[in-house]
Amino acid sequence: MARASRWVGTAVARLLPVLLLGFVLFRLLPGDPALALTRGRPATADQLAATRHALGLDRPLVTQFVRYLGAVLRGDLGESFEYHRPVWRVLAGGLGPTLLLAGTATVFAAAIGIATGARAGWRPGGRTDKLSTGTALTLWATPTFWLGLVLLVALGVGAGPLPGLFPVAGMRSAVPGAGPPWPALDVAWHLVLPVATLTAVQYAQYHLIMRASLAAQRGAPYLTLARAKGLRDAGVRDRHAVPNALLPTITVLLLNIGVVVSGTVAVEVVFSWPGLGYLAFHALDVPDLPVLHGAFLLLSAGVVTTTMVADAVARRFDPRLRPP
Amino acid sequence: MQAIRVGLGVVGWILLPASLATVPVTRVTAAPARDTLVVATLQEPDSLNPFLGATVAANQLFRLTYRYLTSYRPGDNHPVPDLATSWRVSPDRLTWTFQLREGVRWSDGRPVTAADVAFTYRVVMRHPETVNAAAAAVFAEVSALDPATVEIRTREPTPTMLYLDIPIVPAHAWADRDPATPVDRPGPLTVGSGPFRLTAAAPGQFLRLAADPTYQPAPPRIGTLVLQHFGTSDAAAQAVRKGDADVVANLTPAQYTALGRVPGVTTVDAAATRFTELGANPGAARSDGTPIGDGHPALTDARVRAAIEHAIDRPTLVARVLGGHGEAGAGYLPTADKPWSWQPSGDQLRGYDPGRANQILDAAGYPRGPDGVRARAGRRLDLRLYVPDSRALYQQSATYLVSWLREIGIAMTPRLMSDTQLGSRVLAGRYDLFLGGWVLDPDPNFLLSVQTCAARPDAGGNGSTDLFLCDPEYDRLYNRQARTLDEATRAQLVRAAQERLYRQALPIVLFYPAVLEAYRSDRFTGFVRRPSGGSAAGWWSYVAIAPAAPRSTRSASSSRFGWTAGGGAALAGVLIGALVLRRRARRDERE
Amino acid sequence: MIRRGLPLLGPACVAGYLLTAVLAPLLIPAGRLDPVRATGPPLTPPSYRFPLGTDSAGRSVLELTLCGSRWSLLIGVTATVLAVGLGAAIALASGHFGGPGGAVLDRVVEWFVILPQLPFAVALGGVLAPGALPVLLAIAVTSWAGVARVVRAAVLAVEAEPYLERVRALGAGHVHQLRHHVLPAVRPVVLATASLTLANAVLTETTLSFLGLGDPTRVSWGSVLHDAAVTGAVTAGAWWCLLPPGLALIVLVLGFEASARLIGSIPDGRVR
Repeated sequence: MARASRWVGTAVARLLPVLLLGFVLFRLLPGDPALALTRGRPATADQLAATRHALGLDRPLVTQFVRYLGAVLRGDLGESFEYHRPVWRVLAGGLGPTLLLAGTATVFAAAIGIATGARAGWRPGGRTDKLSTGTALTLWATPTFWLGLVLLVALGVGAGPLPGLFPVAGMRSAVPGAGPPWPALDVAWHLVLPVATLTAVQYAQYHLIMRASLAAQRGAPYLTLARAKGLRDAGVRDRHAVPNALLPTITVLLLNIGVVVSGTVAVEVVFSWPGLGYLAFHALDVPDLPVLHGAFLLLSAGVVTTTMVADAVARRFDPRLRPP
Repeated sequence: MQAIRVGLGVVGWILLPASLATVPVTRVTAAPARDTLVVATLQEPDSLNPFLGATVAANQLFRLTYRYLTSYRPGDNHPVPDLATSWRVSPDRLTWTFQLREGVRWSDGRPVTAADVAFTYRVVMRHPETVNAAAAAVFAEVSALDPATVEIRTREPTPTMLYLDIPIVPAHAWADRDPATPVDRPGPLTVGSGPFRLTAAAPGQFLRLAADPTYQPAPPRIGTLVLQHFGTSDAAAQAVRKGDADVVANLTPAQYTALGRVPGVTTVDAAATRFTELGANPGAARSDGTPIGDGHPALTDARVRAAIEHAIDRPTLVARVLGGHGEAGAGYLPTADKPWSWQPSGDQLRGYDPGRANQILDAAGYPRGPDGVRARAGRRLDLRLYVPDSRALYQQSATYLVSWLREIGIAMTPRLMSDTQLGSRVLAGRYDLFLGGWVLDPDPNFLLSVQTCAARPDAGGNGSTDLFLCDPEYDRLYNRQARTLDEATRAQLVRAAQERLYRQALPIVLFYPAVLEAYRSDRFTGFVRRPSGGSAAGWWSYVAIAPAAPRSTRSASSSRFGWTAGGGAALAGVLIGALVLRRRARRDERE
Repeated sequence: MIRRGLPLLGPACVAGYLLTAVLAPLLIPAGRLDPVRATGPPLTPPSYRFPLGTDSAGRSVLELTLCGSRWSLLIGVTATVLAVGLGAAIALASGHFGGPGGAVLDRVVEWFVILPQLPFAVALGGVLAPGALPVLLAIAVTSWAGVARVVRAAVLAVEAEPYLERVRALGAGHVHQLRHHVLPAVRPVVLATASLTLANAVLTETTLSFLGLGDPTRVSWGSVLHDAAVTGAVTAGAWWCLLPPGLALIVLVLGFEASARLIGSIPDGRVR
């Protein structure tokens, strides 16, 4: 019980700066929100004053922040300037696609990174190592949006001899029957290029960690025992060295979720994937400040929460991290 | 290998929530119907509520799902019957009587009557915050004389009665509802009587419409219409190129040329629908005359504005920025907008003449400073240029303008901002120069009204003015044309009004950009251009087109998927098979 | 000899880019990149006259790529100096002095470390006008904490060294300790971190310019890609507009990372 309340306390403490930043960026900086709210519709000076009072803009800053906190925690993020709908409704539709894209890409990146990193780390300096690590690092240095554009042109539109196999935009085929027959498969087909992009630029992280861990373990005594039992080299690697190196890799995976989120935003824009990043980017056009604010809060809070979960998981499962 | 097992398990694990997470909006059908038209759009309706939706996309949607009293003949934008089959106006021009079409039904089955029309107009009259309120501003009373007759009495004669852009809504659905209710899904508040019905809406993705086979006078010849939203114009253009979409508008010159090379795609260079202007701040003031804002004082002088016009090489803009797709401007309304357009005569036209521009500025008392920038009374000619970020041509034009004006001694600082931000700044008078544009209505009344003194903002800061112009002579001409029902006389007044605008070099019309569109003529025929020589990608085409003879169908898309999936599955099968064989060979190594 | 020189490829690469960036205005006069003065036909593939083809305004893509590095590097260097300066200072303070103040600083660092870069940049872009400022702020604010964390770990490692205790016992003040012992010891880590931060900064600047959040009057790699996307070069199949800026960026980033590995080892290999 004490641990749970401590966990909640940490959660609030971690989220507070995100909320404070959101308040500063979106309530203090942009000027008079009352004018922005009544934009496009005639309003007299009295109506504006009334709106300001209703928004609490005539109160001291601290009070405004407390009211802001209350509203956000209740889920009241205001109304979108462009769609005239509550912001949470606009964003709710984007949450699922973002999670799907980021989650799938992270899992694939981890799986591929672990596999290639293990092989590279087993024989550091060898040809496999140089090739696979070089590839991983080059892709890590590639701007995500650019790789997305290249894949889009090469495999989506089709350039030269390459046929355009994959959809060019969106999450679903708008026309029934234009793509795969089942909705899940349709989404998966649209997911291929975005996930490929996001996976390619990310997997180097896991590759490098795995490689370092394995290289460090190579001379370890327990592995000598496994070899003495007659296991082939690959068996020693896969059955013993890799599982030990997995946990720090998973931890790093969750701790680096911020990078994944940034990459997701870029990929969503390039592929018109209807997630939070796409919504935020198009909110820039108006600018639809309530939607931008909501997307920023959601994405940042998501990163914070995942990091805390990672911390907790690491502490729980890695005996080396537990307090003595 | 363990990691591969993990990977395979994970793939299956991902597909499960993916299938659960997707709301099955699409029904499982065998093959795509040939009569489904997919329109690639770049803008979404901001609301599905006909009283709130203000964007061009919303307007297009409402023209498809609702009826209006009158519609437009594509060839010349002349009013034609829609819900009203005939009309007459009283001798004093103040009372209009419309006979409604018989046998029209709402999409929920109930009959459409004059009571619905009266209800709709009354809502608009009573709620000035609705998007079409301005159209009904001159109405005094609307009544349903009998279920098939509507009478509208106006306070003054109005020539725009047959150009009302007010969708007719069902009274039984809207009776006790707030007209500002947000609507984003099909439901009772999207019931209409138009040629199509809204059947599905995925915000940010697509809207699906089904044709009404009982629509009079002629039902659409396609069965389904999908408005699919794309984030970028490139994605939309590529979709048409691949065949995933059938129609796209607002292409860039590069996309237009690229699509023109694709077999089966027809490109359209549509003129006469819009103009792009460089607006100056002539001394912004409220409608009561109180000055507002912080415009540069030099721009209040019409000679300075005329000099700026002389510094602009319009033909070069058309060639370089528009890729030749457009026409150099001068008069307010484009030349193809007959009978309303007016263009300055040869001597009157202020063409590209930097020498003349320099002369004018010298004579007006703006000598050049040591750095080449002109100044007067210690104030440099250093102007802010606000550029909307909505279209590439604004940014590109700005670069040229900055360069040209530098040559005549005017320093200009461009600043990019959203359309809305620019609108707020202009309305507050806090600007020097800006780039903007207007899309034409069939009737010029609205575009003329934004240049009147009355359009300037009131004390609350609300107004529809374009440039804070206030010229009593212009106002006189505007008011007269607003009451003139005879088209020829009215056209003369409209032309005279435009000449007044040109005299004051406000606005400086840069060009009339063509709208570049493309559609798959191998799949659909019968596209109609409105007005003639104009745009083909709009509701006037969608109600008229039919599927072409079946030479290529959309099954190309699903067969592409089939090949990819089949190839992928075969590859996976080979990999798994190889893995299994390897493991079998190592079985004897288990500890 | 070649093999021994191979690790120097990274810094050599970076030096090459910096040299190009500095010399570019001499080779390519500023006016040439003005779209008004462009002489080439728009969107033409590589040819003898235009080795990398032309963009939608008729400018040579080769010249755009060479000159584009200037702005990207300028923003990158400025943001990195800000981030590394702030991060290293805070890391030294919390690592060397410790105590409750150090604990507070650590908390602050933890808060900023997990701030996701692109959503923050997009949020800034909506509130401030697009230009150099939101890009600089976004990069600096989201990078400094990563720097601080890495440098702090190095500072703590140095602080634990026995010889530092002896120095303190001999009466050396904080300034002396920092200047003569701690700083020299962590310098390689700071430099390596700076190199990685710079790589990330240039990548981010390119991404933000591509999204339209950068300064529209400046030519940078991101703006070249942004123009290509906005004017429909992608649909037109103008691969020559897309590939050079991206490839140039990849090589530069690889150069920075190789340099970082050369200068000093970083405990967990990443700063972002």
